[in-house]
Amino acid sequence: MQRLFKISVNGKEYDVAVQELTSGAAIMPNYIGTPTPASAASVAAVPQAAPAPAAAPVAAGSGDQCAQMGGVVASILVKEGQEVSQGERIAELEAMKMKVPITASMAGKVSRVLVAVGDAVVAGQPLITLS
Amino acid sequence: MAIKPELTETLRHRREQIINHIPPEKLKAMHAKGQLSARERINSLFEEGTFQEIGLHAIHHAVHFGMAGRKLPADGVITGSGYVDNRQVAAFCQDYNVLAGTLGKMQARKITRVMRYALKTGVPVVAFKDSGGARIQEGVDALSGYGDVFYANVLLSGVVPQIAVILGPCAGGAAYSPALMDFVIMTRNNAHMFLTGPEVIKAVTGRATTMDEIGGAEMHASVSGNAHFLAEDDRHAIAIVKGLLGYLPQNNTEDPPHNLAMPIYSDRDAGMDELVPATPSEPLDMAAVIRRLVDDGEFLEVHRSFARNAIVGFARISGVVTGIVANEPMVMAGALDIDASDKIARFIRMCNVFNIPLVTLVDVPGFLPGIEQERGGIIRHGAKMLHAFASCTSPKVTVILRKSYGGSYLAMCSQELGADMVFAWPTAEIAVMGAEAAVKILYRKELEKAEDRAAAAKTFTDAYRTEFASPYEAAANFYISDVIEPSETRATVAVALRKLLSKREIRPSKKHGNMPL
Repeated sequence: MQRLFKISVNGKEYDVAVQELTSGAAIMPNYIGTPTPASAASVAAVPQAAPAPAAAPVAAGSGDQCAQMGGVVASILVKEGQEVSQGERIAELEAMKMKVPITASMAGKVSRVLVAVGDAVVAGQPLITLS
Repeated sequence: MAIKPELTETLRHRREQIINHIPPEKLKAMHAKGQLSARERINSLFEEGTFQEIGLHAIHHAVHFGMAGRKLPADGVITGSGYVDNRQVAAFCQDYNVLAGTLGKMQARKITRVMRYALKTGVPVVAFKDSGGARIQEGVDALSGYGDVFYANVLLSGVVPQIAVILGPCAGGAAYSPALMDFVIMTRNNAHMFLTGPEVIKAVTGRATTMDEIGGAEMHASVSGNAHFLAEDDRHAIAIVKGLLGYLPQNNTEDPPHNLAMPIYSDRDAGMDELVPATPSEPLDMAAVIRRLVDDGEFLEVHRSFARNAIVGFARISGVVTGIVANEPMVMAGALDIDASDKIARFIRMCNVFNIPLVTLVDVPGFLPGIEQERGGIIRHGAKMLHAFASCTSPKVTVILRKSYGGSYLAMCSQELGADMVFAWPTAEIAVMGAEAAVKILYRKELEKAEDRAAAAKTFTDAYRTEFASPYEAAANFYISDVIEPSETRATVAVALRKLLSKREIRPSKKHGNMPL
């Protein structure tokens, strides 16, 4: 079910369409204890993969490369379609006056870049999808 | 005159029945899963011929639920002591092939007996856990048995090292015994630890889950922090035990096994200079710094996949066994959060009880700001670090590599928290807060009046950074011992540690401090 909202940020109005995937879902996910991208990937490697928490509105898929912490996207170092190797730096956030490298948790092809330079992101938010 | 042959024959027969009770096909299946039998585990830990078993013939006395007369070899646990690298170690290993390794009163008596032996002789305990849990047939006796084991765990805590190795299930109350020990090692595919299993969770909360999600080794190593080491299989787990024992003293009255015959480094290490990034915002590779700092690049990292924004582990520096505590700027900018605080505090306290010197490597932008952190109690968790460092009387050497701001400066073992020596690189930024934030407060009026606010802010920020975001303000106020070049770090730390080995510090007598939990 899709719902439409009009929201105002600093006096600017935005029309937002929100698709509800689970009924009764919490509005804000609780990211405490969310595994870091590397560990999330390694947990996913277990044969019986853990199901994503039902309450999280943005369920990270196995190829999703997520923000380790809240911050601003400082650079995207890959393009869609590009091949990357495991451990390669694919993006950088800026947080606490530091560059925070986002490295590929697996080798693969960049299927989607989900954010742009300057975007504010929250911890656990998928930034780039690899396949 | 000689002993009657039938007597020795009976003994040999009894031994044989108890020791070789596992059918070959079952053993083969275990090996295929990367598991060893309980006997094989004990044999691979100890030097050949050094293991002395106690209680081989001990057995339960339960009668209910068909237990009367049931022969359970060694009552499902092998207990005794032997030698590992020429040092005595006590151990027990639950045997899953004996009634699923379940614990009843006799098994608990055997376990607590060997633990008290370790306490009397002052030797480490290695506990191999592989058990279905309480032996229900023994009822409250089984429950009481767990209580006895927990009490012994607490009695030994801080006296002799206790290492738990989880090689199979360890569910329910049984999981508290490893949690009371110093280190927990879990094997990747066979080990599980949880209080309530998937069925109970489903029945009570309605949520479906898996054993791996709530109790798998990877989860405990990376998410819950219950496991300190993740092993690929039984043999790897035993190798980790041996590595760990190599850094630990036999008990709290001894020094860890330093190699003081080793000459102290005096050479400059130009490679360390190369590791400093060109700009302060580019993260430093802390793992590379540690490799250059320690003997032969050998570092036994504890809690490697948990709270990766901090690094803790063991190494030797010019032969001195050292606990390393460091920020990891590559992960979450190296900011301290709840999990990192818990990980560091726990490691410091373990080092302190076993007289292991600490080297703290600082590059920290601050405590992680956030609603979840504040509501999650970062104050009481961060306070554990302060409490742990301040109450630690082992030698403490701190090296401030780059950022060291505000509360996190103090939390990373500043001089005020009791560091014996504090060294800073010329790249160190020691200040109450970052330049941008400080300027906004200090020059609020000037900035309001300025025609070009951004330009004025930049001028003030640059001036502040030059003046205060350096080691020299702190050095001038005598909060650090010396400013050193990165290439001098290894030699400087090595000499300082060697000199500090004679450190003795007397504190007021008390039952114990009241650490925030």
